[in-house]
Amino acid sequence: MNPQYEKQLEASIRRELDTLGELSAPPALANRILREIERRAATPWYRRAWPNWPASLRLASLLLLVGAFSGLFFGTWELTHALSSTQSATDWWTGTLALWRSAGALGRVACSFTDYLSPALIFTALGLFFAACATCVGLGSACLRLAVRPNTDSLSS
Amino acid sequence: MTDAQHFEAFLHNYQNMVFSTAMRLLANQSEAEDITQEVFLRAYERFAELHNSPTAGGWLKTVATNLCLNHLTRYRSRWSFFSELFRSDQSDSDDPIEFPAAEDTHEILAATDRRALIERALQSLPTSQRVPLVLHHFEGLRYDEIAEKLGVSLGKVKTDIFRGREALRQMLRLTLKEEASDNEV
Repeated sequence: MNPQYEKQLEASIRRELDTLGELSAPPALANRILREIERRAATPWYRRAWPNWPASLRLASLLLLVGAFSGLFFGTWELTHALSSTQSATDWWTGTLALWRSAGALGRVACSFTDYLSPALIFTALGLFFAACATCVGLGSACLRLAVRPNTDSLSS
Repeated sequence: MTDAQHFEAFLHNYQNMVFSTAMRLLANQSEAEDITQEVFLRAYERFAELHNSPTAGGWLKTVATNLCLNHLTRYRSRWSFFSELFRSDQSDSDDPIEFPAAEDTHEILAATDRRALIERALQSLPTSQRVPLVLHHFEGLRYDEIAEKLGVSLGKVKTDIFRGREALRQMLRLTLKEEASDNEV
């Protein structure tokens, strides 16, 4: 590329492009944007993305989730602690209590999730969960059959 | 004035600027409209900050540019695809560029619509040439900034801009020549 030619070309194209002003937006565009804003404003908070929830609800949901996870971890810790302690009746009771607390914490987490998720998503997730369980059972059965089947090679030889 | 009225005024003040940026980068009206809408929806969420800010125009332009580049990357295949598609050893003259015929040109120029003609020529450039050219001439970005934004080498940006200018020169010179010959007749 010849530098002199390049400079001339740049200057010439710049002159042409400098004559261009702003393009006019289509007249209907402003109305379309305003309508979209109205539509979004009318959407209930639970149908919006989390960052667009009202601040108080975002804070509440954060606290709820932190509480739920704390409960879950505390419950797990309690359960582990209870299982590793002595076998006395009191300890058994503590273990059961911890188990109960863990189940409660898990239940709260599940409830908090179901509140924010749409039914379609919940049913899809449940469907996937049961499909995964069925796959596990099926694969487990196949593995078991393979493991306990008679050695046909030795029989045939 | 209510907030809604303030925003409407804000929208009317800046919509042409945002639309122009999107239209020149994307060369597609419906996509440019979608990007403009997205820019103003984002602006609405931050309107309290933008309302009286002297940098509102710059913010809108930056968001529009970034959204357009994201759009080109995501929805029109990777930037590298375009880079490879129009490689240096491929002649630009092979690309069919629609341009008005001689009599059409005369009519258009007679109607003082030369700017529309330049816009059309700009939009007819391949994406790999148009985008860096627009970023340099209209957004005022340096070559190295363009290379960084597009994730291509500095050499490629220079070559693409040169080719874009050369293609524009050829298209515009052709038009003027034909106009001159029409006048002579």
